Amino acid sequence: MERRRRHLLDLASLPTGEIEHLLDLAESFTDISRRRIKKVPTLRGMTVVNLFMEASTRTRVSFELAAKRLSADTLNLSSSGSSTSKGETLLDTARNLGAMRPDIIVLRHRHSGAPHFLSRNLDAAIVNAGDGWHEHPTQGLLDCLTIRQHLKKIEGLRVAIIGDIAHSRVARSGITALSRLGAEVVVCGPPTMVPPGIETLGCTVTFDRDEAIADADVVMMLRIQKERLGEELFPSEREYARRYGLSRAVLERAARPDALVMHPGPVNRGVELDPDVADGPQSIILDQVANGLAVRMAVLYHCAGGEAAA
Amino acid sequence: MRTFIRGGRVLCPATGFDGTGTVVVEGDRIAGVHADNVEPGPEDRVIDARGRVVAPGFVDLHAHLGEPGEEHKEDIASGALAAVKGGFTSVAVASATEPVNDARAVTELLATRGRAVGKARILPVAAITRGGRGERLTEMFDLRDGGAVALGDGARSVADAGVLRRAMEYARAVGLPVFEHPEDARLAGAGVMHEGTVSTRLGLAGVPAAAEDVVVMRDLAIAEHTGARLHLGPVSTRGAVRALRAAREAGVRVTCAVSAAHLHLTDEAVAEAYDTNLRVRPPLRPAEHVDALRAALADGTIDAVASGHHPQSPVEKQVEFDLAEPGMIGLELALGLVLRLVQAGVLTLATAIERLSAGPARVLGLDAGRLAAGAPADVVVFDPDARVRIEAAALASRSRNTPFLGQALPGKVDVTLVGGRVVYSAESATEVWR
Repeated sequence: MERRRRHLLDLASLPTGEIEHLLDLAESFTDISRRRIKKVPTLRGMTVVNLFMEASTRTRVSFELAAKRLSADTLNLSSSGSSTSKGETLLDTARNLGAMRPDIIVLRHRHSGAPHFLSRNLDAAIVNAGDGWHEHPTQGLLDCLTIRQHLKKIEGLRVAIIGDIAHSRVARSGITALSRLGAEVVVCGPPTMVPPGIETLGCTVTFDRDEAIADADVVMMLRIQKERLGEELFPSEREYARRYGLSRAVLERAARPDALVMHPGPVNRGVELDPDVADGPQSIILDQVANGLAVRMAVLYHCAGGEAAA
Repeated sequence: MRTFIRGGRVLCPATGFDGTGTVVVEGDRIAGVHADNVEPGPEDRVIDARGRVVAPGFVDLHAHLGEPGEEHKEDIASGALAAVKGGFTSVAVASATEPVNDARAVTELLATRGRAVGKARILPVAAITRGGRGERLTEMFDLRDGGAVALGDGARSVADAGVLRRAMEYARAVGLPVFEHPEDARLAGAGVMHEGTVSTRLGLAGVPAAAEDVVVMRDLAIAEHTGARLHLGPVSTRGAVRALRAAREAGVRVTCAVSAAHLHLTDEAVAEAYDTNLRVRPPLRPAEHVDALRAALADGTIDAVASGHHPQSPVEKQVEFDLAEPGMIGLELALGLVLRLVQAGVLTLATAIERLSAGPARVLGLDAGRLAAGAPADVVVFDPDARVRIEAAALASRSRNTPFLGQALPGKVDVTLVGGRVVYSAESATEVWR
């Protein structure tokens, strides 16, 4: 059986047709998780290594479960439990893994471009599970899938992405995928958190939250990293929450009543998102999590060369 | 015995000589430059330069040669050979060695090693503050007496303006230029490339052009105040160029250098594959900056092209982009990169040679960079039309960190003389005629 391995390094270099194809594929996989026996033999005999060199729970668990539901053998390595703490380089770690002939390496790494670096040095298909501030392709795909399920389309929708755009891989993948599929994307945050030239990814910029969410079909809130307080990107959590957070009052005042609220998690409740919004009727956060599994199954299948074999 | 370099196009921007001629070398000095054919005696050595350009040996203002401390990347022997292979007869070596060149013992070590190797002249740039930490001044007189040709803290600027002011004042009495690598550490932050659209797309922390501009402007103001000889380099921004022009017009004593690679590469190159060979300081800038640098080089606002030679081994480069050490090699590439500008019509050949020889010699106040009777016999003979493919195995440098591997660059150095001795000839890179 001839399989053609493919990397998923970022959405920016993925043709729009492939993005759509992956979404359709993911849609077809959503069904599996609703069955009594949540497992198919699609990737039986294949090995998926989850190499997580940065703390992550939900993405790692999601990838692991996705691989298991496709019957692949999985191996999980996280930076605390790996050789990197002994000073081994990423390249050596990867080459050692590569010597065991895995089919796919899922890499989470705190440095942008790490998956590209591995892809040049290894035979396995590399799936980017988030690299630095660069991209988080499966998050971008699952956001698109979730929106598409709720609103039946993406083209023509207005999507506001609010928060620390500069340090967000979720924002970059989201802007790229949504704009390619025809959405009108507006990003919003204090100027300290909006990087130069972000418009080239396919969005407009505003520093005014209310302007961003007015007429938005979807409001995507990003996690604010409290560690960044020391970098003077914003004066206080209090002021951030007031000017850039999403509370029930702001939602009711500035947004459309049918606007959907999303968040990649984990939520800083009371900072970027109030609990009653996160848990409210407009929130589709848990659908994002559910779709994450389907998207990762689709990506693993695709990167293992699944369609070629089918 | 004399050496006759005959039949080539003798091109010396400093004297204005440009035409077929003969350069006669006697001992370590040039005996004469003749437009007519001068017949050598039976005892004399002849270098046939037909079809070649005969130019003053190049002077490099910004190079790291690894020794002492980082000999796995480069040492004086490999670095000085790479230099003469690239046509450089003098190389100013940055103070960022390990230990830092902030004491006469280190300065003398570099100078002594340079003489022992006997290739390019090794000119130590000593630190201006102890340990390069930007706090306390070094013993500048002692460093000068030990052989230092300039004072500067390597790949960083003195952060404290008060310290820099005192350093510049003191350096006036010492008589050496102050080398500043203009970059504000706080504005640069954790940046690993130019801050702009490309860094945003790649998710890499950026160094804004303003990080360089503010230090250039500050340094120019302090130079104007103190009357010190300030040298800025390598520069990379159009803001730096703008400030330099204004300062020159105001009569500030300032010189400036750009590294050869920064005249060609832009930050867009990083986007292709996060190639760590493109991680350099200052970072590669967008095209509008490169255009400004080229124009400033052509009109003389920028005095010199430096190699920017900064070797790194795979240990420092085969890692994530953020973790890679900055630097690319340049000694064996600079001539080719400058000749590319000649081909592109940016520079005349005479200006190109000036910026590699007389320009940088002037920065250091060095008796070099000219072909004239009585001048040191530092000469390069090269074929400007030959093309050389840059290949890892053929590099004299111990390091291979360059994005130009596999590319063909114009210009092939055939013979290099330092102090009248042939220290490099293309037929046999290791052969030395004494």
